[in-house]
Amino acid sequence: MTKEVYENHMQEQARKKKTLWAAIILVVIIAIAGIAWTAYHAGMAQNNENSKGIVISEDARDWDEDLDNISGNQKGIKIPGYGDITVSSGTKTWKITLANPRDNDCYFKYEITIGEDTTPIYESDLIEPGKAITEFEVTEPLEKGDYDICFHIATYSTDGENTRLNGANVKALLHVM
Amino acid sequence: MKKRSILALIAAVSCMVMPMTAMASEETTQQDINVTLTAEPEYTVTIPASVTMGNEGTNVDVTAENVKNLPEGKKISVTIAGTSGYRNQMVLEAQTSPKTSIRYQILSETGELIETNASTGAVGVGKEVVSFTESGTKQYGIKPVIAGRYEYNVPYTGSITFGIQIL
Repeated sequence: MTKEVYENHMQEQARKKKTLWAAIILVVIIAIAGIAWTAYHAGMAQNNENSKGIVISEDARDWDEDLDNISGNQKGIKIPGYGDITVSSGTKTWKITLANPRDNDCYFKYEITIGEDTTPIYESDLIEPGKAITEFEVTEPLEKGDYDICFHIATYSTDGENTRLNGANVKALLHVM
Repeated sequence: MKKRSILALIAAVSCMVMPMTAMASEETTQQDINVTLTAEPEYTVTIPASVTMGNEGTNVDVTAENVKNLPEGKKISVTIAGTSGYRNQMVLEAQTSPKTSIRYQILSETGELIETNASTGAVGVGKEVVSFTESGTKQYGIKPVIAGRYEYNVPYTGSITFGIQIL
């Protein structure tokens, strides 16, 4: 092998080595970016999830309905009740206020069932006191008619333990027009 | 004189035309109004978050407030819809070893004794505790049934799911 051929061979080897290192560095950068992205989104999700894995609703907005307070210092849970409710047929978007009155010292979680069917057509995340969800999507639109609707309200303590407190099943008549 | 007549005619025609213009503009500025209503709560019922009682039991307040549009002859009925006990039994459990539980009874506003009992078939689900025809506070009684195997100085706990509806 002449000196010139030898030098060419060495240069070729050095170029291959550089290319290999560049590829390795690129892969490492992509991997780090991927891990960072995953960690960021996991962190964002965890911001709304407490240590017990229960998620606070992001759909709830402030609900400042002025409610009388004749219960005095009674340590209780204010449960909202409904009269007749009307929604449109064929639409999955319902406008019903699912509120947790601000005097309460607990989270609310709503589940909505229709008639005898125990499968919920809507489940909320936890709603903080003083907030309400005013619009939500049900799993299936209903046909015209009258139905029994039940709002299953489960309540949880806000002390970080998420202890289950007394709850309520609020029933009403639903008119689908 | 002729001039005055012409001016008067112009004034009269102007008066007639101006309202017509206004009416025409009213007709052409029709506005569509769309209102999408959201169903709002029509009353609130305050139930106990938890109840602490001793051997003799206690009375518990239930309050109805902000009652709106309650039809005549209708009432807000508060019933027992379920309990934390197995098969909705009215029992309180303690973290003892072995696990122990005690039954409890509810004395409704009307004086009805509500309890669950496997041997008699008594059930609590569906039984009315209190009812309201207007805003106000009512009471029901609750007391433990001290019988069977239990331990002292241990908290016995449980929860009730109340049924609330207009009947």
